[in-house]
Amino acid sequence: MSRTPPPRHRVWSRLIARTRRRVNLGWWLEWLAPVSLLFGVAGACAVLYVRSAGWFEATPPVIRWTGIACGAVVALVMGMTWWLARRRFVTSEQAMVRLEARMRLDNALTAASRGLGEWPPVPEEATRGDGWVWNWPRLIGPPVVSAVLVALPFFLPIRPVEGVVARPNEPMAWQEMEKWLEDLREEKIADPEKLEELAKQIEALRENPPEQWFSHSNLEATDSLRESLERSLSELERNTAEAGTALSAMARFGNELSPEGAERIAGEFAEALQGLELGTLPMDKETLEALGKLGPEGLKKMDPATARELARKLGENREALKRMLGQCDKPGGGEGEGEGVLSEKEILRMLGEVPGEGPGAGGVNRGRGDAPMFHEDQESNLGTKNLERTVNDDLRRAAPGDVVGISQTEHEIDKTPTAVRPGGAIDSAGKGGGRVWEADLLPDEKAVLNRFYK
Amino acid sequence: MPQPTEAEIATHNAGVRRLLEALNGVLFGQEQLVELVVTGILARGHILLEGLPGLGKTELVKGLAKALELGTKRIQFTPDLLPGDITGNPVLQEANGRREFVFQPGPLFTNLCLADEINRASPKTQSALLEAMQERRVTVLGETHPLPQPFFVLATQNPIELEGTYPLPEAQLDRFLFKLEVHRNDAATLQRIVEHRELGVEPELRPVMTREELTGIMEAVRTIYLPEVVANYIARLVNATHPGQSKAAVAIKYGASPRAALSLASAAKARGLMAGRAHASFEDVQAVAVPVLQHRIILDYNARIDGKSNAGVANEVLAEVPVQALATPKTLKESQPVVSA
Repeated sequence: MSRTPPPRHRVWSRLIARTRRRVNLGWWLEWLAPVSLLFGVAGACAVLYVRSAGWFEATPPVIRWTGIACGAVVALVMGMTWWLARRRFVTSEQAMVRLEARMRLDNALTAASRGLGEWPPVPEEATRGDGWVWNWPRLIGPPVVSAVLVALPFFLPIRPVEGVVARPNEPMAWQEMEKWLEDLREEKIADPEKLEELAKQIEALRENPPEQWFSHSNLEATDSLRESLERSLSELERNTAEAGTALSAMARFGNELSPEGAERIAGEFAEALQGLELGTLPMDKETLEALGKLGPEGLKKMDPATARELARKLGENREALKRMLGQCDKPGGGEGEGEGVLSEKEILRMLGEVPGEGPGAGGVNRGRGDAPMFHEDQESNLGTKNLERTVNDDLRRAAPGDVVGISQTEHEIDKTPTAVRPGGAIDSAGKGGGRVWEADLLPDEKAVLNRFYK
Repeated sequence: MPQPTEAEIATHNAGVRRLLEALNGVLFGQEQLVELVVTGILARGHILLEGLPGLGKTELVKGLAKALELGTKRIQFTPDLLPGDITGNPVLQEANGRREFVFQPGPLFTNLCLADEINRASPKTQSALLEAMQERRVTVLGETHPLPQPFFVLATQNPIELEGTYPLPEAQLDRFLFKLEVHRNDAATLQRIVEHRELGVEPELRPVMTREELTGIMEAVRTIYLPEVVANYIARLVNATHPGQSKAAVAIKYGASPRAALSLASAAKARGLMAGRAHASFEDVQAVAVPVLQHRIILDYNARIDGKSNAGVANEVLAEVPVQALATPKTLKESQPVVSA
């Protein structure tokens, strides 16, 4: 015959189980709260990263897998915290004691469970609660904060960072060459087709993957191209200068020149013209055509004004080329009349019709060409009178006797009064009274005594 | 030892009720004091009553002796009282032509010894009580004499600030189960005293319990069940009186002894029986904790200067130590007590 447990026993068992569940759940939630905060922060960072990487937009399956991963992490966290909180879980017996203590039952439940006396009557209040209520701010605060942390990045206006990836800096030589080409194109100095060809060569270098831009082979090719272009520019500048000089000479001294001189200038003009046409960087076709029509013979019969105009144009081109090559500090810095136009003295000197002036002044019949330090208006400055401070920071190499530093200090002087003292004077501060109060007592002890004698 | 049956508990409880009623009829307005004195008697403890003169301390003890039908003797402690005056002295007697020392028992040889104004005697005489209180026997000149059973010392003392008093040594204080403070009566109680008492006339009190009944109840107290959780609570409570073991103990220089824990358990059992239960409870421990602990802790100098009392510090310890060692999660908070017993 089965024995039905007494009703009170059943009710109390149910209440005890409820208390046990509530306390254990409380422990679990207490462990879960800080961990959920931690994972909330981590989740927020993850969402921010995924969104900024554009994974959601690029690959929709990421959303599904992210959801699965989040679910797995949440389940893992819940399981882990449950396992950690188990150490604090209460047994039914402990829950019973907790309940009877809270309800002031005089340990009647413990005694009854041991068979001492009847189970106490169940008060009506006991069915409504066991003396504890949920601490809601503590309970829901961390999970809510965690959820907000995870949800917030979804609402932030974040653009994937793929489109704004900064390109690495390209070699400076490319920009420098492109600047040269652009200047040549703007000033109409060189042949545009050749410039286009050079631009394509630079672009070919640029089309390599950015990580190879600074590879050894790439830099070598860049240097080669740059040196080639620089040589071409120099050649163009030299030929332009020669052509310009010839034109300037004809413009200024055309009628005064001897036939040999005119022939010589015409020859140099022809040579320069050939260089401008067949050089690695040909001159602009329009200008070249105008000069080509003129020819060496035409140069002799040329109108001085036209010659001057052409010379000025070539002078401007030369100055522009010198600027590109970094040979001229300021445009038009020469001694001539205008920008880049050769002076009369310079032309005559070039033709050998003017003797050189002063030592080493050049020309066919130039002077002695004295070395520096010759007595001149201003003596050569070899920098021998500059006073320089020498510093020896490496004291390991200091020679004996070197001054390594200077400082200011004072002698240690014994300032103890040495005057005569009266008899009976003592140096000891004593061991009682005021000295104890000042030196021995701790602040707490002083406070206590102050209170006592107040 | 067999547990008392419910019927036995009920019988004992009825006897205790009679005793309480009788004593409350002698001492007006001191119900709590009377209950604690009876608790101490049932727990086989000695009791120290402290209070100003005239509050009824001696009257209570005399009433107890009458109600219990126990032999009682009163010793008025004075500064010139000698140990032999209370324990007894060997007296030279001549019998059959021979002279020999015959031990003459002192006033300690009784069931209920009223040590009135115990702190007026010198420490030497006070210490003469040590063996009697702990071992319930007296040794004089190497000869040990057992005291009659049951044996209780109910001592009264004036507050130690009064003139001509000697503080009791700690060893002797520890042997008192309770130290009870007798407070003055309120006006209504005083009126009752004036109406029902007359100066110089002792109140009549008939015996309500025989010696055998008292012994039976005391034996039953020993068999009261002390749950493990309650024993654990007692242990943690006594431990918390030691410096560094609780926040309240910062005011304590020396904590309570293991004897205090035993006294607490015994008193809790007695109170359990008085409540008609066969077991002791947390509430029983809490009810007797302060009387048991307050005279067993020695306060720190700073605490005494700050005006803290032993009872106050004992109450702080009591409030600090939870009945259950298990912590409560912070996700739960206590609501108002659901129900009180």
